[in-house]
Amino acid sequence: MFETVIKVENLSKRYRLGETHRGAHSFRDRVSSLFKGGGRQEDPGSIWALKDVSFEVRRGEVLGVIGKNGAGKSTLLKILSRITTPTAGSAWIEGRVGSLLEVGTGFHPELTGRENIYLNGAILGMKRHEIRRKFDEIVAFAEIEKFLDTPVKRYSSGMYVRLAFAVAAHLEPEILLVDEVLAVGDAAFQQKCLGRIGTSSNSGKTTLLVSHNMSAINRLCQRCLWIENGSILKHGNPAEIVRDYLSRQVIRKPVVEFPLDESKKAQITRLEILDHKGTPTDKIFIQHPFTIRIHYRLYSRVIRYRVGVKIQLNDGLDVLVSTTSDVKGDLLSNGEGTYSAELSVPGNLIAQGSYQVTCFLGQPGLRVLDRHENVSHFVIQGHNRSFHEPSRGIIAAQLDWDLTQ
Amino acid sequence: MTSSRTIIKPETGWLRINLRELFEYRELIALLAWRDIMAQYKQAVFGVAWAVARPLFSVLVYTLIFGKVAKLSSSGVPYPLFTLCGLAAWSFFSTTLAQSTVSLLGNTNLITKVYFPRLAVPLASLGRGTVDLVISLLLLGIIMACYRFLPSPNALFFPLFLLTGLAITLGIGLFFSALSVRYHDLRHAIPFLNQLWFWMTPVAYGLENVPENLRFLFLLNPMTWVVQGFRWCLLGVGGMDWTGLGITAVFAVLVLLGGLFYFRRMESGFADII
Repeated sequence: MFETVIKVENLSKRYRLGETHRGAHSFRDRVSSLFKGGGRQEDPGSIWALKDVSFEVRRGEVLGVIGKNGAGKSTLLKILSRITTPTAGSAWIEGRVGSLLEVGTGFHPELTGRENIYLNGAILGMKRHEIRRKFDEIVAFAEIEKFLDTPVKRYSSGMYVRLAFAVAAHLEPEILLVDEVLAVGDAAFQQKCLGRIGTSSNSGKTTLLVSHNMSAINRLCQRCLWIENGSILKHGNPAEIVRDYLSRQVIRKPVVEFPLDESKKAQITRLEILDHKGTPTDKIFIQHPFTIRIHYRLYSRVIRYRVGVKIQLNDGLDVLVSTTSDVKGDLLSNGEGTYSAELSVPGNLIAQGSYQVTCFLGQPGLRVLDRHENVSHFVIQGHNRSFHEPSRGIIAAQLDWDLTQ
Repeated sequence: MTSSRTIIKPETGWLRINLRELFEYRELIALLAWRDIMAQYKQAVFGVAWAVARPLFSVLVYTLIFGKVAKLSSSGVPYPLFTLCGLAAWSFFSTTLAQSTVSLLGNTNLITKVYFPRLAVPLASLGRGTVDLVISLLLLGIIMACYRFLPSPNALFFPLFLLTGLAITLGIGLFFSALSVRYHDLRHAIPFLNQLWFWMTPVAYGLENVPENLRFLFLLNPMTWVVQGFRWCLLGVGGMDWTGLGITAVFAVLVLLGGLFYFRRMESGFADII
C-alpha cells in the first residue's frame, strides 16, 4: 500500500517562444525570414513551463494538482503521459498509465458510437477482447444504448462527453492522469465521474487529478501540489493548500481588466461587478440586485458562442452558473468587434458570504475561447453585518411560512 | 501483477524504433486505417464503386489520349493493360503520399492528448493506398483475362517489387507527414507535387517514349523503377536486369531509412509544435 509508483525528479520543460502551440508555421514564413534575417533565424527566447519539479506518489493515492492557468499543470501531465518529452530531469511510472487529458479525443464523427468505442479503446491501449468484455458496461455507463449505431456527429455534446469518459474510465489503468475533464458534462454526470475516481482509489488505483474544482480536490485527494510558474509552491494537506490558494487568488477589485492578446480568436477584456446604482463595488447588500458585466472582443467572426459566469463560495462550492444561452437556448454569432454581456442577479437570491467569480467565453461542445477562474470577488452583506452568525445556507430567498396550530 | 516501468527522460537516441511497442499497437494501426477507408466511402452514394471507377476512368483517358491520339508505343502490350499496370503502383504511392501528409495534422487531437507510438499514424495511412492497389491489381487480372494475356514467369519477382514499392512509398510518406507538422501549408502543395511526380514517372506512357537526354531525370525517380518493375513482372515488358533490381533495392532501403530517420528526429516535438 505504501510503495512508490510515480517518482519525478527535477523534471523541466522548456518551450521555445514562437514555437509553442499553434504558432504560424508555413513555408512562406520560413522563406520570408530567410530573406529578412539573412538566413539565420534569431532565437526569440524561451520559457520554462516546468522547472525542477520533484515529487513522489504512492500506490492508491489521489494527488491533486492545482495552480493558475499556465502554471505548468498540464505540461506536467503531458510529460507523465508521454505526449511530450521533458527538456531535463526524469521520471518513472510503475504500471499501466491511462490519461484523460480531454475527453472526446479520437472520436471520428462519421463512425458510429459502437465503432468509436473500439477505436477509442485501441487508442487508449486496450486490446479488442478487453473492449468486448467491457463493452456493455461502457454503454450502460454512458447511457447511449439507443444511439449505438448512429454516427457520433449526430450526438448531442452531452452524449459525446459521456461516451468518451465511459471508455476512458473503463480502461482500468493502474495509474490515471486526469486533466480538467470534470469541467465538461452536466452536474449529475460529473458526480458519477468523481465517484468513479473515488472508487478506483479505494481499489488501489493511483490518480493524479488536475482541477480547478476545489471542492473536488478537497474531497478526493489525500495530498495536493500547488504549482506556480512551473515550480512547486506548496505540497501537502489538500484542505490547507486549497485555503491558501483561494485566499491568494482573491483580488479585491470589483473591476478586472485583462490584457489584449490578438493571437486569440476572442477574449474577455473586462469584468465588472456593479451595484444596483451602477457603481463598481465588491460589497453588496443582500436585498439589492446587482450586475456582473463582461466586456469582450471578437478578433474575427465567431459563431454559436456564449458568455457565462460562475459564482463559487470561497471554499470552492459552485453556487451559480449562468450563461447567455440559458433562457432561450440561443447561442450568439457575431462578427469582429467589441461587445458586452450583462447578467442581472436579483436581490435576495444569494445568501450572505464571500464569493468568487469566474467568467468564460466559449463555443459549447467545441472549445473554450477564454476563461478566467476566480478572478473577481464580492461579499454579500446580510442584515446584521457580522459574519459570526451561523451559516444561513447559500440561498437567500424570502420564503413564506404558514403557521397553524 | 504484471506492471511495467515506464521511464521518461529527454529524447536522445534518434534511430531507436520500438518494434515491439509498435506491434502491441497493431490494433490501433488497423483501426486507424479502417477509419480512413470507411470515412472515405461511408457517405458516398456509390460507395466502393468509386474505388473501381477511378482507375478504370484513368485507364480509359490514357488509352484514348496516349494510345489512340498520340499513338505512343506500349511495348507491344495492349495499351489499357500497359497503363493499368503502372497505375496500380502509382495510385498506391500517390494515395499514400496525400494521405500521410495530412495524417498527423488530421489527428492533432490524438497527438496532443494521448500517448501512442506516433509511427502508427503514417503507417495507418497506407490503408487507403492498399485498397487502391488491391482493386487495381484485381482489375488488371480481369482485363488480362479478357485479352487472354498470360503473365510472364517474371511474376515470381513480383513480391520483391511490391516490397520495394512499399518501402519507397512508406519512406516518402513518413518524410512528408513529419514535414507537414512543421509546415502546415504543405498539404496545399501536395496535389501539385503529386501531379508533377505523376508526369515524371512513366505511368501513362512508356519510358522508351521519353527523349534520351531527359531519361536520366526519370531514372533518378525511385517510382520509375517500381513502375518499370511492376510491368516487367506482370506483363513481361521493359528492360529489367540485376542492375535494375539492385538499384531499386538500394533506392528502397535509402528512402525508407531516410524517412524513418527524419520522422524519429522530429517526433518528440510533434505535440509541442503541431
